[in-house]
Amino acid sequence: MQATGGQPPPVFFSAMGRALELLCKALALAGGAILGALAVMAVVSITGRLFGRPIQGDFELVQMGCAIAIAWFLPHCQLRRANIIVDFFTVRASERAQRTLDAAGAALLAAGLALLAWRTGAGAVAMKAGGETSMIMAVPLWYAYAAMAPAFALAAVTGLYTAWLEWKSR
Amino acid sequence: MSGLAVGLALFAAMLVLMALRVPIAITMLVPGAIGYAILASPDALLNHLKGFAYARMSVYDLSVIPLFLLMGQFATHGGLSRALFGLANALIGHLRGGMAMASVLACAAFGSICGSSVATAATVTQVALPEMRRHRYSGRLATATLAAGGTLGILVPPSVPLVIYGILAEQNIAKLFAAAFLPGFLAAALYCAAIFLYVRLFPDHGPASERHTLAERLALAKEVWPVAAIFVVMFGGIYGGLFTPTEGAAVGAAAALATGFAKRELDRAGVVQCFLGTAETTGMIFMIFLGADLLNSALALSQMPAMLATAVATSGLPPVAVIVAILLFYVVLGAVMDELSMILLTIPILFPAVMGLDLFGLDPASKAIWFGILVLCVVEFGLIAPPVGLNVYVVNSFARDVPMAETYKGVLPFLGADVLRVSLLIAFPGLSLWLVKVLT
Repeated sequence: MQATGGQPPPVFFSAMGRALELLCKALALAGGAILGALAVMAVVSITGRLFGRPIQGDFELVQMGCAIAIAWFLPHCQLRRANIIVDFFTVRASERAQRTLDAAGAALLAAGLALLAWRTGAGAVAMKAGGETSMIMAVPLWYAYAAMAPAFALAAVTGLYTAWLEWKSR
Repeated sequence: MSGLAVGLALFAAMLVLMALRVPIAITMLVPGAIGYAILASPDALLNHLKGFAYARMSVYDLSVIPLFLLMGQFATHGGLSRALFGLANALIGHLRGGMAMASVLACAAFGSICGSSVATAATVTQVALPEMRRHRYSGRLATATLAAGGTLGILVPPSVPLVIYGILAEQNIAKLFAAAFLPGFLAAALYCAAIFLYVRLFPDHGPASERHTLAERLALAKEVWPVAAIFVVMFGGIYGGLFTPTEGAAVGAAAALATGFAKRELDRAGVVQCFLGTAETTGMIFMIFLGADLLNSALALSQMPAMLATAVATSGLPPVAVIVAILLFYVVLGAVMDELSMILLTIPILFPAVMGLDLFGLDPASKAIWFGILVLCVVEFGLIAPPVGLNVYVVNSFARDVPMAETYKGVLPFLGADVLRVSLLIAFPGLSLWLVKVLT
């Protein structure tokens, strides 16, 4: 967390902030581990294919795994302020104005992600009710939805947290 | 309100939000959601969003992006750039301006296993910049070479922007990669030519230095073989029909990780850094992807792209003039936006118009591939041109004693080389399309 000057944050918030940061990092590392596992699986699958023993439908796992990993990356991405902005038009604005705009931007990002979390959660419920599965391996699709929705929610919370940090640092 | 009016209002809202420092992804996502709700209905929007995130993030061709980014991270942290620059420098570093040329070659080679230009610029800078400064290269030539050389990271396949283009334009990723190889070599050659001319005019900017012995060269060549092996296995597999680009990226990532471990450059802490770095870039790219996709869905409902395509097709303008105008538009847009946002935002709108043009009698697939390479080349301008050349910033941050203005001055010959390359690619579509025919 960046030192932001001014008054020290209330203890409750700083403890929550640290917990949030740990959670974001852990989720991102878990996403990285999924990618690593997919890479290993690809090597195994290709080797198997060469020797006439293909893994049927492994691409479905790649699709689902990547979708989940990407969603799990989003909270850390926002925590690191990696969601790029255009600063060309505001380079001459005051520091205070810039921080205020950044706080508003992060809050809007939180709203967008909250919408995605809500709808993806609704999608998970619908997918489970409909019993939809992948074509070849018959993996229930709602697994992926259910893994992604909480990550969007965490990214939304992180958006609010970064908005609060920006606001505080004005 | 008519569809067109809503479409224009969405565009205006996006630009205003962008100017107000809202994250680019959200400047597209929020107007996109509102526009969708107006043009269809709020219920239709909520229904659309149910499967939206999964449907977009689970596209098999897109899975290649996080895997390529992971490979790039392993290659960056695995010290592979040092070996590449070492060999190139041993071969041609003794010539006047030779170390700058060696940096360009190292960038091109690193770009063949890395799909990002900022990463390429940063990693080659770390090894090449100190070496050039020690041999009394001017800050201007050294930093500008690395900023420009970094753009080879996305031009030489694998290339993340090209994957995004392929998804949007519904083109085969492997064919697009094949089309980018020769333009990539051409870019490296023209950059070397620019350096050659530059040091003829200003000899003290890149002095000649001592020649390396054959034994030294052979020893360094041994260090480079893992990069060559990763490249050959990955692209050999893809064009040999053994595996898909996504599997190629997975194999490449595994191989880069193994190399990093074997060279003792990567340990557990390093792998954690690689994962976190991948998370940041992947998250950023896919947020923009989601935003752009929703905005483009709304724009499609407004009929704007179709109207634009009809207007362009019936305008009577010469097709090549339309292409040049579009490319100039990208150069202007690139002054304020990053390359991925530009491609994601504009291709769905402009692509139908381009496909409606008769260009040298090319068939639709060839036209789409050729146009993709041109777009890829021009969006790079923004990376090294003022006012916010991202590569210039990155390289300059490693050279505190070199003023930014010096780097921008040094970039001019390379921009000249870029303009020449794009002109050649427009005039001779075969430069992009020949290898596609041979390989696929």
